[in-house]
Amino acid sequence: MLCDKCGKNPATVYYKQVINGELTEQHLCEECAGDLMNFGGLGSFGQLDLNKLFSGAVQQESGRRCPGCGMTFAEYNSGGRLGCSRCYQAFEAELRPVIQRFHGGKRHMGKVKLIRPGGGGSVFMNNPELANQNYERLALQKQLSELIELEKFEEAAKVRDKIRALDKAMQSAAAKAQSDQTGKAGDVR
Amino acid sequence: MTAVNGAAGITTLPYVAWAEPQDERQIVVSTRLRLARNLTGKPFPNRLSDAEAEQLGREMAEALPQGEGWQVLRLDELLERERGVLLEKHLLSRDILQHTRGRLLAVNTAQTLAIMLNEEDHLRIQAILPGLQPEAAWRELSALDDQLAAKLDFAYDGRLGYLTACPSNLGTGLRASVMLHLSGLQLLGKLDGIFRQLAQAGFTVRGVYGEGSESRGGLFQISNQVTLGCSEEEIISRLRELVEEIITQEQQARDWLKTNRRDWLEDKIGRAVGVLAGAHLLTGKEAMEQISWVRLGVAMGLCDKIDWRELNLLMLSVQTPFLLTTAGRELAPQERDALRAKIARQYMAQ
Ligand SMILES: [Zn+2]
Ligand SMILES: [Zn+2]
Repeated sequence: MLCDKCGKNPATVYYKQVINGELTEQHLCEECAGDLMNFGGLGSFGQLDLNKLFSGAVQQESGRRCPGCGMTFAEYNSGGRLGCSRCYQAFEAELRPVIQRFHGGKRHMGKVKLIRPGGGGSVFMNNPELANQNYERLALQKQLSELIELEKFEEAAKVRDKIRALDKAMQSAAAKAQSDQTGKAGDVR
Repeated sequence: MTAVNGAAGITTLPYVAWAEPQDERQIVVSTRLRLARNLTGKPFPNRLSDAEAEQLGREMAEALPQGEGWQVLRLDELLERERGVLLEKHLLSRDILQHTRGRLLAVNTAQTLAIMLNEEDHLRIQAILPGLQPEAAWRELSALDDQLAAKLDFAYDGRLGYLTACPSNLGTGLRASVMLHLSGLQLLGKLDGIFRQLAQAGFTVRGVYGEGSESRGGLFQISNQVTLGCSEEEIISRLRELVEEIITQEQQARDWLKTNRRDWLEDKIGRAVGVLAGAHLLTGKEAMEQISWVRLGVAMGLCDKIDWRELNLLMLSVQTPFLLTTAGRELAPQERDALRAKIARQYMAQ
């Protein structure tokens, strides 16, 4: 199977997204998948006007449960342990002060997990900052799809704003990496 | 996966890699580093049924690197005293023993690497080396982490790093600890001040046996508290800096004692040798106190009746789980004290 986007390379990555309750599937080559995960993923995906989606219903929840493990934040508070890794997304707002108290509100600066889109490749191996932002973006995008599926548009709008902010940050990080690279090349000469 | 419980004496003999002498200053006993890792899309161990934990434990054990001679122990199949032995060797945490079904421990042949499966996190990967070797321990640990990551999909977030069951371990998931013998500072009553400084630097101290600065055996463990917002290398170099500083202070305390309280010191060390070599009833508390004096004597060149390695093995051998293993049965308190004294006499007579 050839890539749905460029039609040239063999497709190795299956890309799935739910937008406005509709499932979109693409089979992409490594390169195009990298692009998609990298910059403007959503924007370049379907040119959707997301603002239309987010004017919808307001949902106020209590006893909200993590979609991954079914845990509530009250249960975390009584036991001191989260139920699964998705709890960090589900209870992001509640956990922020907890994490701040433990660690002082900084971001991860340690070992970067290797990225394996569709099993191969390491798009950002030499740029941990971009790699981590990319991870963040993938998680947010997943979160966005789920929120839209659940028709929680107000929360989805917040996530969409985060993705946009992240895209900007990634673009400037990439530009910086690029200019560092040219700078280094210049030094050699 | 080979599940051979207790082979090669891992759960019976007092031998462990960190007992070896490594640092001629003879203040640091061991360095232990651990990484917390979890699998994407799986509930953390506290949300798994016993059957699910067993299944997941088997899958994770399959991912162990080949050719390292890994032994995989099912904790629910071990005798209580065998679990106690693993605890005394610091290959295991107390927490994992609260519920043993579906909980596994993988140990390499050298007993320098150990992985707890389904503890608080899916994987607790540890490297334990003798002396002050945080850099070497990190190299071994990180290499093992890479090998496991090639087969297992670890839960990770770009902002929060490796995701853990407790937010206190987020980010690097790294807890770097050093065990030191600080009896000089303990004798001079200077530990509380040092502990306060360490706390301000984001490090915690606890007694290895007993609590706080009352620790039996004069052994203390120093560990980083913050795991997010700094690199592994930063945590490790900070730990080394702090430990080197404490070593210097401990040496100064020992020098002061040697210069100003020499007779008293040699009397204490000599009596401790006498008790260990001649007692016929020895409580655990007294054994640890006398071993601490002898350790100080060995490190200061004031005692040559036993060396650092043998002393570490003696310290392990007099702990209750080893006594029960040696006897092969339960022992009444007085029987324990008698056996403990007998083992100490044997070590001191060598
Ligand atoms: Zn393509
Ligand atoms: Zn969860």
